[in-house]
Amino acid sequence: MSTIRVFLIEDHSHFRQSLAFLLERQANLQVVAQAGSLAEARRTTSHRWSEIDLVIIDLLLPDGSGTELIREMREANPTLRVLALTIVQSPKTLREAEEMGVDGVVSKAAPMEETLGAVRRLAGLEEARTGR
Amino acid sequence: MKVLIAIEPRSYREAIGEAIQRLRPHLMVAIVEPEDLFVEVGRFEPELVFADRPDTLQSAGRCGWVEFRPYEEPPAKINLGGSLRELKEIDLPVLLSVVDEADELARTS
Repeated sequence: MSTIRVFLIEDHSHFRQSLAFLLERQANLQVVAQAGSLAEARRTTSHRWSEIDLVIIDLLLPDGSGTELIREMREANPTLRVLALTIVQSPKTLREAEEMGVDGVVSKAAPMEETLGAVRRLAGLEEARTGR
Repeated sequence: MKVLIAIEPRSYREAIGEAIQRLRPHLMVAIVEPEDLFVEVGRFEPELVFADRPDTLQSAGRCGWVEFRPYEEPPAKINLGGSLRELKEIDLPVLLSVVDEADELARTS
């Protein structure tokens, strides 16, 4: 199985770096880039979204909503899988994320195993469980 | 040295706690619910605590307390051996340096 290339976009660097460290220890996953804002994400990738397989993005970033970037990513790479992380699971936020076509949303209040499980499923490394 | 992590949200304490444990395998890291903080401090007797509230226990033998609130400014208020400081930016290497500093204090005190 080929390695899944992950781009991690999260403004809290302590959490982002810790999550990246844990993701790197998952088989067949490689964190190829990290960013702490929309601007940094655009600068980091230089819009080369085709070189990314999976994006993990915080919906609440210091310079705007992650949903803005999701539309750009989707247009550039329709096969890109997107997992949104959010501290606020308001109906409005979830509706916007759904409209932007995210493949999954995980609360930051959830256990890490739930986040890692969602990553593995979206990366095609684990079969989605029946009924989920 | 024993490190207790009781911050919010849950994914932060689990990711940070797991990363610290793997990067500093000689330490004992416990990850607990913030609501259980004071009970766990009494039970586990950590030398370093990361919590979402100030230290109101002032327990003897503890080297450090980090009041860690990622969604507030400043996100971290650190008390190591009675020396106080605030950090506006706190990333994983900074967290590890705080852990190492507390570990050194624990060895020499």
